[in-house]
Amino acid sequence: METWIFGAYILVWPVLSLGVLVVLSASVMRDLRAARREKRDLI
Amino acid sequence: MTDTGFYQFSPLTILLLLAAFYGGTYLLTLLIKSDRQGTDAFMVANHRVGFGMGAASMTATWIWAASFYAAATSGYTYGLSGPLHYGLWGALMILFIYPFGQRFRKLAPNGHTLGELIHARHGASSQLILAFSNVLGSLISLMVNFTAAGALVSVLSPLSFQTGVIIAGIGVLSYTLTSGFRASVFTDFAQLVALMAIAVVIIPAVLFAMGGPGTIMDGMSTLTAEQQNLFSMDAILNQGAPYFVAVLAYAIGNQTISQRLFAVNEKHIKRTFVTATVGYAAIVIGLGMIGLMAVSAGIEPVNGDMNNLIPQVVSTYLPPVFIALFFILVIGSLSSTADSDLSALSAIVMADVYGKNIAKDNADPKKMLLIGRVTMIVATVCGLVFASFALDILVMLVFVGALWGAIVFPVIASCYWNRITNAAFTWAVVVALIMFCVARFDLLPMQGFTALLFEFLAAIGGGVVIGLMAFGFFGVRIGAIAGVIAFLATAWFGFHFLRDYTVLMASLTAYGVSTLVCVAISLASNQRFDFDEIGRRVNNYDDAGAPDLTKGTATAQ
Repeated sequence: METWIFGAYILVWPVLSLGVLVVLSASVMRDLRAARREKRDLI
Repeated sequence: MTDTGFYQFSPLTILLLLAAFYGGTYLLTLLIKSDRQGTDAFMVANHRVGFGMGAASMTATWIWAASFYAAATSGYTYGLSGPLHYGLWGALMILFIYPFGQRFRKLAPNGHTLGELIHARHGASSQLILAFSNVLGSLISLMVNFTAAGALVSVLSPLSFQTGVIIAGIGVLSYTLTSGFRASVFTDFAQLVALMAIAVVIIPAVLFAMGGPGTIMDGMSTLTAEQQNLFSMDAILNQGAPYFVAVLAYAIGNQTISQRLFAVNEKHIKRTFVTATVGYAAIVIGLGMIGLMAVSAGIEPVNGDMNNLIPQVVSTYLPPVFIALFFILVIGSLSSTADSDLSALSAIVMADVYGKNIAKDNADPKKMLLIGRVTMIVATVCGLVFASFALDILVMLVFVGALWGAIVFPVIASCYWNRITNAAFTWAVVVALIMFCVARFDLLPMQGFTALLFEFLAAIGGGVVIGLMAFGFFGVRIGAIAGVIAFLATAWFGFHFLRDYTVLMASLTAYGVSTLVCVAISLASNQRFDFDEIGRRVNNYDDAGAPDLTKGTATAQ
């Protein structure tokens, strides 16, 4: 196996985690703004 | 660093870290308005949790302390494919349940627990079997998470194991007690953000502190051929397959998942659970890679205990600030799961025990909330006591796993097939458990006709597992075809072979037997069930004026 492939095999998971983190944070921010606009609880 | 191989924080530092974590979490929960607290909010946040919060909560709940340790152990033991065979199948537990979750929501829009739905479908005995399995599972989970807190505190500081257990128990209870499930979901988001951010930093940090991909690659040459093989049969048969078999069982048997299926805004169920699947896989497989890196670097776990592996690697290769981050990572993961278990247990006692079996649907909402909070306190005390005694839970774990496996077909079939009866459900579980025990504990010598019989039953179980998974996504026809193909394949490869893999064969036997018994007894009955009854029988417990979700307000936002 090529070294870069092996490196990517290990590092792809934190990159994926970062992607999910961004998606979730953006979604919660959107929900928070909507909740404030509609004067209701976020949860 | 001590001669044990672990970095040691001072007691004050550890106490400050714990105070910052639990204090911060508690302050967060003060943002939740307690004047809007009804039983529905306490158990399922009024069925209106948004996508971001829901996905974060599902991910954080499913990641417990053991996830990291087990994934790393798998990486250390099975090499290249090891982390995948832990993290991937664990992630699929979240993915494969959502099509069934959509069905549960359609049948019981006002539901709080899966037990309520089964009570409406069959009555008390089936419901209490499910509730009992849920309670056992959550109590075990609580105990394991508190134990992990005690172990971590005692490894990274001079503080005792019991100190860590007690602080974790009181910390989790303090922020969950007032707002219940809402607090659990709200804090899960914050805990997951911290958890992911730390994982994103720690995994590359360990890789490059060990010398980078090139150095680890060189170390790979010292591993066995199986450890170097991404498609290792050793890893598949000993780690992947038994875990794969449990995919539906863990999801059905766990109230923490069904609670979120009932809580998430109905139109967001699919993307919530798909995102949680990816999030869980990324974090757990990523941290499992530390095990792979450790075995490649020739690290031996201290005292031969695999649970020491990650703390040992972090202590050896990273500066103290990273060790503190790792400490928060583990405390965050175990706390998010423990608060979900407390919420799950309180919902089961509130709805399944008090609501359905004591108050008989005339529940007093105030009394119900009190019961929920008292349940949380009792459950925490039980978790602390069990964790402090460091009980051997292996037998209990085996039993709960079998129970979950045995209820999968009866629960799912009860939601789709109108001929399943209460007797079929109950006897299917009882007979499957007995046959599981025979196979798992070698109560009969596994040779000759006996072994062939159990391999046949296991092959049926294999067909049921694959068939149900395909059915969830593609419907009856594809499910049946996939099930038959899986049965034939398992029979072809399994005869004279499965008997050597006791755990796998026993698990598959539980699925196969429960399906056979459930179908046979149901076919012998003329009973037919009207599924619309479930929606009428599962209601909100709050006073009149609470939204009636059977009228379609579940998706209104």
